[in-house]
Amino acid sequence: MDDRGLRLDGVCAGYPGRRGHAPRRVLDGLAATAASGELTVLIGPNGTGKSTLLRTMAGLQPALGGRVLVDGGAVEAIPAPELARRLAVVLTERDVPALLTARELAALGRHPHTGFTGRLSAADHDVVAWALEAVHAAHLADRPVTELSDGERQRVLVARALAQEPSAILLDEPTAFLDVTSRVALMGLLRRLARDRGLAVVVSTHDLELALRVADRLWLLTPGGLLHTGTPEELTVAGLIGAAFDGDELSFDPASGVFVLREGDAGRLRVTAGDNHTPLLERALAREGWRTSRRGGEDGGEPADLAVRQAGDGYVAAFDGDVIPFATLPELAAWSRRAADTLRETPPALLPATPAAVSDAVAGVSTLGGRFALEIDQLGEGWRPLADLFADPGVLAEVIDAVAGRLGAAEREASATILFQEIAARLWAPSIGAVIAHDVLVDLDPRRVHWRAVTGEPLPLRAADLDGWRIRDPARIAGHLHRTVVTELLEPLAATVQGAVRISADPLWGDAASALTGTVRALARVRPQLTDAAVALGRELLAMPPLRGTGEPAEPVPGPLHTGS
Amino acid sequence: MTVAALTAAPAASRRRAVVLSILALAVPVAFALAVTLGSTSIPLSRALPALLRDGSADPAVREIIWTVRLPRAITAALAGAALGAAGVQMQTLFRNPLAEPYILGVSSGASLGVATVIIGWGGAAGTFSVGVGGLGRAGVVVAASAGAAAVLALVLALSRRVRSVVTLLIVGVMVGSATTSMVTLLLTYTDPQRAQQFLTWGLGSFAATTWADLALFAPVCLAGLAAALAGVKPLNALLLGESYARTMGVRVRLTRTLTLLVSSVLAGAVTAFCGPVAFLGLAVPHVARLSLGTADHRLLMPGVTLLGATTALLCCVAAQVPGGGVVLPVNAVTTVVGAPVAIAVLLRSRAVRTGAAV
Repeated sequence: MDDRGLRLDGVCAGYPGRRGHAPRRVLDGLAATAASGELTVLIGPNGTGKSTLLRTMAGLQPALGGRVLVDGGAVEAIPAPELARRLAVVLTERDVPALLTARELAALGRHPHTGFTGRLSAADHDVVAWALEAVHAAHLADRPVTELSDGERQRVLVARALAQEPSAILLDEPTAFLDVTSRVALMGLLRRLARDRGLAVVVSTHDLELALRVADRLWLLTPGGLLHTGTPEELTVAGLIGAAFDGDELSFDPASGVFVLREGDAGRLRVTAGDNHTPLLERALAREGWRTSRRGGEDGGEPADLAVRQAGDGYVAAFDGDVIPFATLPELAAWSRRAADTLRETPPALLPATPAAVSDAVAGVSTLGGRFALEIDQLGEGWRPLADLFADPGVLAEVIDAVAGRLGAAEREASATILFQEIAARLWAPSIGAVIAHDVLVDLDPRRVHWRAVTGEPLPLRAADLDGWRIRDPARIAGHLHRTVVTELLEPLAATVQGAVRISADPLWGDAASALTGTVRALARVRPQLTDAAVALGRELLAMPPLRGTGEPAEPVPGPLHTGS
Repeated sequence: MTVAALTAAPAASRRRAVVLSILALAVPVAFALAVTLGSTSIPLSRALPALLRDGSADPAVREIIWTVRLPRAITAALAGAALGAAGVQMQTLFRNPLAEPYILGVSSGASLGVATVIIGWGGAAGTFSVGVGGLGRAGVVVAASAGAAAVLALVLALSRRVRSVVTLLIVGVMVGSATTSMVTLLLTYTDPQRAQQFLTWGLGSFAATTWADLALFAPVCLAGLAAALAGVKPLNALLLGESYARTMGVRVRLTRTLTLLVSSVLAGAVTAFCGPVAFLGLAVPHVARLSLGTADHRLLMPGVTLLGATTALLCCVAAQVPGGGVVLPVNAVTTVVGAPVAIAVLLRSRAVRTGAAV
């Protein structure tokens, strides 16, 4: 059997009893092997006895039971100078004496090899030079150790251990107090030394993520005093890492090998952004309690409460019917915290729908008939945003004139009301259709929904893409639909119409109401099974200002709308 | 030890060789000054024949040199070397830059030992060292060393509980005060003349030793210094602390005991014959470390021995106030030299600011 390396054989570590007190056994019955040429990393939550174990292995405190074997010999049985030639340590003590150069400090490691006077031979000098070279500290040799950075000093202390020419090195938290770069560099160095020199290197660290990446073998001390050994992957797969380290706030993610914030309770999040940006957004919002909803699957993934997408230099958040732009990530994060609070108190009526879900709903509605049609397609020549109609009075006047010409009527007021009713009908139909037939509220953003001037058929509407919402709470949908169609579209359009021709508001809202009842009737005709839902929604909408009390609708309300049967 | 053996860059090792050479030359120069300067100045041209017992020498000069100056100079050189070496040992053992025989109360412990012997057994009139009483000179040295060792062991035990440099200093001062008050208590019950003698002794002096005293003092000091020089290797390992030293194969308990023993004998012997000498044990190691530029005991120990001898000789010269006809207590001079070094060390010490051990 190969004796090289370090072996724990039923080791019990702790503190011997004093004056009649029983010994305090911190760890008991430990068995493990740290092989030569391998980097073994000792990890464990605070207070599990990592230092105690290392000190016991180094012979700095006696084992209360069992044996620590170095190259086959028990630590307590080997004479001190011989042990020092087999086993070297780097301790947590960071104080170094003043007026000692790095070379002199490293040369202290020759102690077990020199004679009575401590005089260094040429061979000793060569070993010291080699040790400094091995830790990339040759250039620091003549600098006082007190002037070195923490990382440099730690490397020189490793060189001192190497200068003992041991077959095993123990290091207690050598990466504590180091910056990230030095930490990674030191661990890499230890790993290389283990490989190149055939050393058994055992190092304890708090840096679990680094340990998982560089360790050939992990020794995991659990709070219960057990020592699990294995490759990082074995321990991860067995769930031991997570079991030992998971806290209230952070949990270990086996796939990535890092700690992540525990899944928040704020709600589910869907991020649409560039490959590099998506994890950043998800992490930033995770801190506010949002957890990423599962993607993909046949049902298009888990529904999200909040959808965030990257738009140009900024971000757009969609939450409960609101679409809000943000210029910076911190602004978005701050808002999302308030949104999370809102969400905890009241469940949202609307969940942001995926673009695919919106397209499906729109396509489905379009099959109901021409007045329900809304295309999702490339915008070509001649398509203009709906917003132009109420943002630019010239455009509206032109369209009114076109309608007047089409009808051969001289009165622009009549043409204007007809146009208004026509547009209202084209907006009500796809939106009510999608709500009733597909449970989706399509966001008819007037900057994204486009129209084209044609004659003799319903106004064609098309959008390159549209946002939309999945309806979670049908009881609250009327208000959102009212806002989408009336507040966002019809009210500005009515205002612009009134600016173009002398006309009072009442007939316009009467037209809007009759367009609504027409839509409900048409829907009831093509999908009789949806009649009740459509009529109920239509009633609710008709009860809201400015549609309420518009007098008799231009078209008589159909029977079902009255009876509600 | 040769320069080739030093683990240092060529420039640094050359500097160290130069500093050691200068120190080696400084000892005879200071020695010559101590022999020639005093209440009456004796030029070297007259002193040398007297020293060589040349027949042509002035008998008065010969008398002064052989009975006063030569014993005094030898005592000073030995005492300085011994205190410097003991200071280095204590500073490394305690890992504390302020550790030294006087500050830690070790000299007070030696005083208590001496007082017990002197007052307890009584002694003849005349110079203090003659009045060593029934136990003889060796008894005084043993008593002083035992007192020193007792205090040192006590302070070391306490220092293992407190890690702060300043706390240890305070512990040393307290132990010293307690010891001193016991001495005072003893003095209260003794006859005034002997108490007066003791008080004069307590001010420190290199001038009170006779050739007979030196016959004991010199071998004890030289043996102690030789032991200190022989023990440098484990002291180097202790620079990093006891845990590191153990993992380098040092038998720490044995090393600690031996080092304590040697420094107690050195400090005790000096105290027995010269009284408690203040601050030399603190100042000399620091100045030696800084001028040699290393904490390596293989250089430092010879360095402090030479520098300690030189410094004590110069303090001895200064105490005689050449040409002034007045003799100052040696402690008045050594304190003026040593206290500023102690303050500088305190201010520079990072560990003092953070309250941690060095």
